Amino acid sequence: MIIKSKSIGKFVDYSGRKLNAPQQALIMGASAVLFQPYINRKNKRLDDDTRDMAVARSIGKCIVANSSDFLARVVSIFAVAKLSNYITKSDKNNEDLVTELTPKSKLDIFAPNMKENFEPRTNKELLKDIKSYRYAMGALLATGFAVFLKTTIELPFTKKLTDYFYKREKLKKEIHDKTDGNK
Amino acid sequence: MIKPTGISSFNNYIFKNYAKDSSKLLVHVGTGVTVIGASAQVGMLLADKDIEGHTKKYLVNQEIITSGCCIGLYYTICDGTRRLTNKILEQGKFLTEKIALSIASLNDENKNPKVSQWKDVFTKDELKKGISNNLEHIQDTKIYKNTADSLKPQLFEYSQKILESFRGFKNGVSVLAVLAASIFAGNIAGPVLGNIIASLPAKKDCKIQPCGK
Repeated sequence: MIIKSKSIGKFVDYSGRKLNAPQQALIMGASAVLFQPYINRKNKRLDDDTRDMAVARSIGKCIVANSSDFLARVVSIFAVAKLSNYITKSDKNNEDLVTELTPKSKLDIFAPNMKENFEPRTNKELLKDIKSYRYAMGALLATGFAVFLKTTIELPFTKKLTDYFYKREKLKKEIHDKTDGNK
Repeated sequence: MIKPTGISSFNNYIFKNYAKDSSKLLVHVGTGVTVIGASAQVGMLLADKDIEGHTKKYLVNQEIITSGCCIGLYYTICDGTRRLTNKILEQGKFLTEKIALSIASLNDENKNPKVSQWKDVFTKDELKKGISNNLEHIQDTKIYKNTADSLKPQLFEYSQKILESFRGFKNGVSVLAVLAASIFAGNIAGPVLGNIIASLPAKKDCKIQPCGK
């Protein structure tokens, strides 16, 4: 299949270059808020009360969990990008061949510090590897941060939002029952 | 020179092992976060005294089973989608007009290249190895060997440019396909399957305590 539309080609290219981990978390989160409460609401195997609680919990959990996931990823990627500046040394006979990789300053705590054990590679290759390394490091840091957020902020917020949406579900049902009774 | 510290040996380990391919680590990390998140949610549910017994039982089951389904589906559907997309793209079954024309123009016999001619640039055996491989190692292809020596450096340079735009396109399609698969696995199929399995004991409970009453 050949895509003739230039705008589709541009969109695909843009997605590959710009759709980063935090943006993907946002898209996943938005679709979770859209689908999961609906799926729970349509679960006819449950009694009304359990179903209402499941719907309220899925809304609360999706909002809080995905917001904290987004926050963890943004902060971690930003921190790793800012604290992983590096300097390189090139081969005397070939300027394009990098032979050493060290942090630029003491603040660059996420930069690799490799002298003898650095496998030489071209500048272009190093840029690609550093990009991939920063992604990996950002993801690891985000995991640690997410664990902290999940055990401290996420749980009480999920409960608060669940209670709020549970009351709303009940209120909606009451209004619906009253309108049905008036008919 | 900054002296290596404890954290730099950890950084070096990550650089050595994941700088070439961070995607595997990202999948494992995503799974780890799901497991930790689900455990925390189960803990919260068990500690919540406001939720009734059978509702709590259902919600705990739902959390554990849905998370398990999501992880299982994530590994199977997302990984399968990534592999399938890669195969389809490498075989040229999904290409942009611009890339197809660029590949077609690698053959200097195609004075006015047409989209359909891109397939004739590589042999059938070469195509099996994938477009990226052929563009990257253009020196091993028949088209390169049949090109006049004076034009070979030009052909090599041009093939590397096409490779760059093909990789950009491939990366974009991969990201979009895996994202769509993740939404399906994590937000649709996982919760539906989780609900069905978690509702089985709840349905039994409902038989004892009539539902909706």
